[in-house]
Amino acid sequence: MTSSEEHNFENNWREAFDNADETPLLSVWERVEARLDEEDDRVAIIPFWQQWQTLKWVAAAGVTILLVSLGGWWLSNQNGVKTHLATKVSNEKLSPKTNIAEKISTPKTGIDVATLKRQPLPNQSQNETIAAVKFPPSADVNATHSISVKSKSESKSRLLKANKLNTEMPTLFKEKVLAVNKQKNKIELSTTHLSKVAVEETAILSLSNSQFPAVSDPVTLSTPVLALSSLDSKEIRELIGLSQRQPWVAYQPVQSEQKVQKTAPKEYWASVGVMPASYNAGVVIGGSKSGLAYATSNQSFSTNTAQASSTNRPSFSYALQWQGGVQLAQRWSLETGLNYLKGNSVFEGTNGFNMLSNSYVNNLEAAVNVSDNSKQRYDFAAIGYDKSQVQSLATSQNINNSYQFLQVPVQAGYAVVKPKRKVSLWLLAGFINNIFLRNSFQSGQESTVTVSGAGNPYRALSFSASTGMRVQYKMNKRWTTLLSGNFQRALGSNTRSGTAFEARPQLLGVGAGLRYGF
Amino acid sequence: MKDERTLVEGCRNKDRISQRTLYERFAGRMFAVCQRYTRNRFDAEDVLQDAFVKVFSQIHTFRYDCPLEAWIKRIMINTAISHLRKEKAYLDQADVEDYADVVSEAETTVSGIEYQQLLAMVRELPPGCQSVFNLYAIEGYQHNEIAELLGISEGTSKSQYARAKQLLQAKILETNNTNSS
Repeated sequence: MTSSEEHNFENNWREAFDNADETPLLSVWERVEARLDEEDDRVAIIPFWQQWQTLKWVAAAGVTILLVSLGGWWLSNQNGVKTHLATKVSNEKLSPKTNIAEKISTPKTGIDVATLKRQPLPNQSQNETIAAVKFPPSADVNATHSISVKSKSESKSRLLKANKLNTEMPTLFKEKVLAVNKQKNKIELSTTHLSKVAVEETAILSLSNSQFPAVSDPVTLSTPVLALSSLDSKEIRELIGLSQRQPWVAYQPVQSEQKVQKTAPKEYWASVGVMPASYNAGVVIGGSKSGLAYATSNQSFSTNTAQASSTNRPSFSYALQWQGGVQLAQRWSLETGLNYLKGNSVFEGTNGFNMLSNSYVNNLEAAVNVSDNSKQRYDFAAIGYDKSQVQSLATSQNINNSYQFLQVPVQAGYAVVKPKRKVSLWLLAGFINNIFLRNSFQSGQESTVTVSGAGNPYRALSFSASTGMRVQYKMNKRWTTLLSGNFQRALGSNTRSGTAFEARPQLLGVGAGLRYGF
Repeated sequence: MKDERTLVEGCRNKDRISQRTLYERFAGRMFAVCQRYTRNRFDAEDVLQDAFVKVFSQIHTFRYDCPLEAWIKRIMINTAISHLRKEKAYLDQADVEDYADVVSEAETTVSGIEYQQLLAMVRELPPGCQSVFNLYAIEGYQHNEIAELLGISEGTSKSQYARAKQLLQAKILETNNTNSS
């Protein structure tokens, strides 16, 4: 056979089927409509999950705004206290140099709320086009399974209707019943009627239309048939790009199944890490107690040892981190742990000479001294009212501070790059509970003063806001290396209220770690 | 009559009247397509139902880059093939030997044979042959595309088609002889 003859064979068949048009039963539309109603109901019941892909950005923005708002509220409260303190200090006629209000009333929060843009939805249809072409067994079988069950049940009900019709016309069909062995899992009665009706479907339609108007094909009685404006299938094939290759249309699998797959397993992990950091203690000398104490005792050394100062320089610090977390969803995680923070910072203070004790006293140790409820490190009372006991000449001193905290972070993580990949990128935000352990700093004599224990000027528990990002490299199923950047800012002073100084530390660190997933 | 674009937009907005109109506009032609890929009318109606549900749920992916009817038809064919997969009707598609054409083209022309008779011939083909014949002869797919679609080798597709062709030629010859006698 020549190729032209072969082509003729196919053309003959194509022409025979090109304009084929058969009217299905009205019940098909009714079932389609019922299915559409079910889908609409399902969407109405769980609209949140249907739109989760869109809402996640809104949620992330919401969490950020909430954290910033909390921080702002905290800061505003602290500013109010400071203004009040500054006024009091001014009224007590402190030296012009002790302009606490100027120093404190311009807090540099440095918080910039960036507007998060809603991201477009991922192009699911493109992915699923590929899936549809390749027919992955799992997705396709699962997707069609539910349809199968439904279709079979509906077929059975339709068969029962056909059976009913058949019993009303026993003489027409009784002799024409064919025993056909169809598939094993179909009901034998239904199968019999299925075969029977299939063979005689033309007869059924014609008879039902003519002899049984009550059960005749309702499509022919329904709304007027609309004129067909679309191309017939032959013309479609002849369109450029369609005759040689017709790309297959993708079907999205049942969305609820996708959701289940995405949110199914929760992954837990534990990690250890170390984070070199730059720590700035943010110490500011000044407060109600300092002004009050110095004023009532009329100690002139306050001009040397208690003047307002807020110049700090960060020093090399580090944090040791033991953390754990759980992946709540494909992109969301909740993390906590325990950190040991060694924060070093330099405070640029002033130093005055105490002639009575024949020693130098810097303004930080003086401030700590008057703020410490547990013990007085210097016997200021012994100095009495003798102004000559303190040399009025002030010299500057770089006071090295070393803070130690235990930190309990509580952070939420959001994966910008999907964690399923080898390398993923996470954004982190949350707060940190800082448990004060001790502070060591240099005295005027360059000896070390250690502040710890009950009654010390520092709060036992203070809070910081924390944000950062983390790059993860998944080495294998269990082990992941971590590289993270972290910024922490205290939510208010970590000293008690009424102390002669305040400290609002901030930290900027880059850490590395190792994670084990369970 | 509603414009096609208006109709699609209505379906995207889940307007039931638009959905009904679209269904009525294409149901007849699409039902004929489903008939060719299935073994009986009931299976064809099941496929038609499933396919139209997919049409309405995926109408937002239609980009007007092809005629709407062609887009719907592809959904029908894909759904029909999924239906066959579900029924495992395609699994018997082992390689078969080449079938030589034993009858001349003139003797096996389908002209003069009624549509319902032709449809019955196609339905009586073995399931694997039926799908390959429909895809190659009627829809115009190439064998490599059919192989990818059905998850079979290209050689299997070719031999299944040859087998289908021979069976159909025999049936046509028989029918023509019956009609002429």
